[in-house]
Amino acid sequence: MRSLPILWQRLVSTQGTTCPRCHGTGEEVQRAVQTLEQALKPLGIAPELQIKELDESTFLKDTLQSNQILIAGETIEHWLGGQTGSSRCCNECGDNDCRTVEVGGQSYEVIPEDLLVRAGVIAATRMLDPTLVK
Amino acid sequence: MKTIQIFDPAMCCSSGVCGVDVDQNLVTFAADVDWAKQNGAQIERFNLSQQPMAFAENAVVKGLLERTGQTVLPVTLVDGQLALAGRYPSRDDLARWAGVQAQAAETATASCCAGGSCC
Repeated sequence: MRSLPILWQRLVSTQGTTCPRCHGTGEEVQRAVQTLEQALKPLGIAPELQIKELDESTFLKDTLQSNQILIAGETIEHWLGGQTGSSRCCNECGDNDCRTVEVGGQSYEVIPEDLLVRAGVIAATRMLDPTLVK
Repeated sequence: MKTIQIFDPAMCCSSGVCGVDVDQNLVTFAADVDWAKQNGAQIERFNLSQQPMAFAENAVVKGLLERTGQTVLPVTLVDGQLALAGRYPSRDDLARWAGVQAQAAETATASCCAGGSCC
């Protein structure tokens, strides 16, 4: 079974809390990983989720690191043909602009399961393509 | 020459390029398919709304749809093997799978609207 690494990282405050945007995305990520486990098992690929906490000083160096999702080392924006955006979050993130994902003319603060599943499927099938130079 | 099969989401027509609010991804992909066919690629497209049996009768596509739902569409098979799912292939993908020389792909891409002027 080949591994499909999925990394989700987000700011966690010193009180151990995160913002609603990241909290919501976290739930969607968990659901997406379950869906991908079922979807990719017959293909011999297993998603492996790594969740990383960013402390405030790391977050402030580059606020767009928070709520970033990497699948097989690439952002979901890469797999979906989208772009990284930003908008004010106003919770644990203070006055900073936090990451959004823009796909198909829509901007997402909480990344929905179906986008994550689609990105995972694209990444997985790319892993299977023998004509691609690795 | 390998056979490339594209299983599209439900669309109103065979290419989805119609009406006033056209998805640019579909326009680009339709042009890439035309280009690949002109270069000898064998490409078939199946539309979920018009050819549902093609989806039901293909074990790879049917299995993906059952496990993942329509999020997985479009699905691309090359000689019956899963090559890509969840997005349309690029022109480079089609060229690589069909064995069309990359040089031809680059030339075709640059043949129009290059050098700051458009035809």
